Amino acid sequence: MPGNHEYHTPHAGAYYAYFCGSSGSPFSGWYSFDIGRWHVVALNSNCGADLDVISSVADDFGGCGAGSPQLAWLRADLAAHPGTCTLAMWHHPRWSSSTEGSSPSVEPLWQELVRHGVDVVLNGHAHDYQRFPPLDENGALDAARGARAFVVGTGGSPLSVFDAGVRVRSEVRDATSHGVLRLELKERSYAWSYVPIGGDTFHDEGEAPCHI
Amino acid sequence: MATTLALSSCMVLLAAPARALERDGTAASAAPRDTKWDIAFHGGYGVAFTTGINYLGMGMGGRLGCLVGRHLRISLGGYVTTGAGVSAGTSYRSEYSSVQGSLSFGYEGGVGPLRVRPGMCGGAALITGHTRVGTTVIHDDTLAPFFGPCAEVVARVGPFEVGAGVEAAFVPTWPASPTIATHAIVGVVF
Repeated sequence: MPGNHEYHTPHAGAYYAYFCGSSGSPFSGWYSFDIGRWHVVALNSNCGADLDVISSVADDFGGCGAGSPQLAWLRADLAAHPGTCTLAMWHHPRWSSSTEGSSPSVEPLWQELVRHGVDVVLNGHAHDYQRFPPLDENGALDAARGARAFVVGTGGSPLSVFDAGVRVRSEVRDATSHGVLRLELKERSYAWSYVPIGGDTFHDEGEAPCHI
Repeated sequence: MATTLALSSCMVLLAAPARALERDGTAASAAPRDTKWDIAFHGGYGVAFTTGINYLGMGMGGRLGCLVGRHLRISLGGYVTTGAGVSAGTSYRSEYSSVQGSLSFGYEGGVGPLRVRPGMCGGAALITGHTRVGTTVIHDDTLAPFFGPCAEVVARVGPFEVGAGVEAAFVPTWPASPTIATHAIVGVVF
């Protein structure tokens, strides 16, 4: 899914041309697919005040707010896939303790996903690793129906630093290692394991059930 | 306001030699008339240091200048740039170009046979873009103001001027990015 750097080329045209077919219709950036019993949703979060891109980027696809084509598509897509474990991914995290900050502009997407029982949310943008507990529509703790968010921006760029004020309910955060998050999507649960590159020592792992 | 006052001053100065004739009641001496106006063709190349596509590139335009008093120079110009494009096979093409208008205020002085014109330039660029992925096309027009230092050096040969200029500008809204452009000058003074 497109991040802010994809929009460094006008309208992220190069991204859409390269991933033609698998990234939704050109200039939109949302799509979904199934893996076993999991439903995976990819969204375009370039809809807020991001100093790194032209402010009119959201005009390309209608943004993320109420009434937007993306939100309407998401609502219909989730309604068409009830009773499945669900993973959603997009670039800008709704919640973050990093200097890149949280992204309130994706709140409509977050709330729609939580209402439909999404289990896992994957984000990037912040150059660090963060894990949150299951949170409800408003970011409050909800172990029963909340969505667990991961920020995994540790793929190679210089790592960020964390705010002096750490986001409330942040469980794990690290800005000392590059690495990847390994997700195992099981029949009714998921397991995560952060794998650092050679020489780095940070590690995080766990397992949790789906909401179904 | 400032432009109107400057133009008015130029017209008064041009009229001064005619009034001297009237007062004397005699034929004018052979003293050369002060040259206050100039019009020139500009052609050159510019770079916009943006993460996107360089909308400057090769460009051409014209400029009308006026010397107010001994050293205050005001000029008004228009410029068209060809920009640049990027493509991948037949499925992707994106290209940007611009049309610009600017006003400059500065100093003009003589250094030997040369006229030196440092100043400050400001204006706006209408940046036009065209991006195609497959059969889907997005066309966008963005009006971006800019401002920054500019300078010219010209050699006067009779009524003609030839020289070169450079402009550095900051575009605060593109996303914010600096630009630099150089151009050759061929003009006429009158």
